[in-house]
Amino acid sequence: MAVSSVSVLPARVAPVGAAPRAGTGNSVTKVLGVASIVSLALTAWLGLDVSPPDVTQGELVRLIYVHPAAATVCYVGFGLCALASLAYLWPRTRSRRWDRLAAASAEVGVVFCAVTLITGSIWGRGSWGVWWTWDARLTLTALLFAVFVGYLALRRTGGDPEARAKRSAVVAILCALLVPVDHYATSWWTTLHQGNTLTRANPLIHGMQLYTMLLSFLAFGLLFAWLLVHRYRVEVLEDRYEEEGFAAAIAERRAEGVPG
Amino acid sequence: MALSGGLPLTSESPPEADGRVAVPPAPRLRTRTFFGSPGRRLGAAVVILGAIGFLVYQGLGNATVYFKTADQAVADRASLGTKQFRIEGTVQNDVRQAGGQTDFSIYANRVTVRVVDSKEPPQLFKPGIPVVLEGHWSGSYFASDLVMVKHSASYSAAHPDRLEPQAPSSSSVPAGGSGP
Repeated sequence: MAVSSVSVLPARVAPVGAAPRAGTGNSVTKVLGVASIVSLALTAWLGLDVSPPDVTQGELVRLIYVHPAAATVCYVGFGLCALASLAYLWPRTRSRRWDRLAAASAEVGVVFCAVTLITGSIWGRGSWGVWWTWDARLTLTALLFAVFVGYLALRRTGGDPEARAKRSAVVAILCALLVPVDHYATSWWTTLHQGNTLTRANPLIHGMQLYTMLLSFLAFGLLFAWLLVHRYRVEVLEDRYEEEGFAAAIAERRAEGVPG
Repeated sequence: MALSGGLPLTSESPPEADGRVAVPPAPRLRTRTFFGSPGRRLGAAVVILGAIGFLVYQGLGNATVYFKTADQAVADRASLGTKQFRIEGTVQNDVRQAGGQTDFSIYANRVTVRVVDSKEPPQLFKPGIPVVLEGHWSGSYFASDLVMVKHSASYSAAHPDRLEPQAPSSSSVPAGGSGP
């Protein structure tokens, strides 16, 4: 019986007695990874060197090439989590793959939500003069982060996988209701946070600043897709670990029952 | 021999007809997680619900009415008294700094309010820019202890030959009176 000697997977996801391909990458993820890195590098070059400073914010404006894109990708992650959860709850489309997608997109979304909060805080210190203030946009973004961290914790509670997937799906949909409220917070309430710059009939940004900002959305979108695919495949490997580990344990146990 | 799942085997199992030892069905393997125990689950739930409750409390208390514009603050002056609140307006072209204090006026909807700020304003503070101030009414002026710059959602490339926009000049209107 050699639990560890047959493992070609990472320790956490290694099934016993099996040696299937265990990585999370393939040609698609390689292309995505290269495209993400190139577009991020291009965004950094345009944002830090080519695009001009702002007439009001000066050099601080360069955070606009990180913060809004991270926030948008965070919304996409949580929205995707809600849609996948909905697909899981719908009897006709119920499949374990939707539950995996919900888990993966929520986790990547939480990472980008943390990036949003951190870069926003740095930008706020420079432009507003404070690291943090309790206005509607900031409060709701912090709340969004907290509830999705709670969702991820809920997913780790164990128990029957199907029951866990169902309750997680319901919670994900409830959590994602905060996304549109957070997005429209600057329109619905008085906030220190500025309103929308791009999503209006006449965008309030032009020229190289606009092009660099649009490129940042593309770069962060590619990065999100890259991380999402890898994270989804980790979910697949974890499932395989549980299933194959279970089958292998039974086989080992029966083998140990044979005398001599 | 211990299995990966730590499953106990009994040596007293009776042998079957073919000489094999009957093995009871193996319990399902469970992945051990940090939140596997009820105590930890309860602790995590308390921490998360506490954090959410705190955020909601803060949000309900502050976020929905984050500030009053200068004209609203003047209209509500009697009810506000010396209570701490936030006021919003655009800085006029009358900024004076002396003795560690910054003296200036803000206006909103044709109402001007004189402000005395006791702290250093942020780097983007200048005439013509909207600000949100934390403080309270103190006699004829607003005593501020925090200045926050409320920049707009509009961005323009800075050019060396660009002329700075001029803020409206200070009027002689007393604090709380009608502005330009």
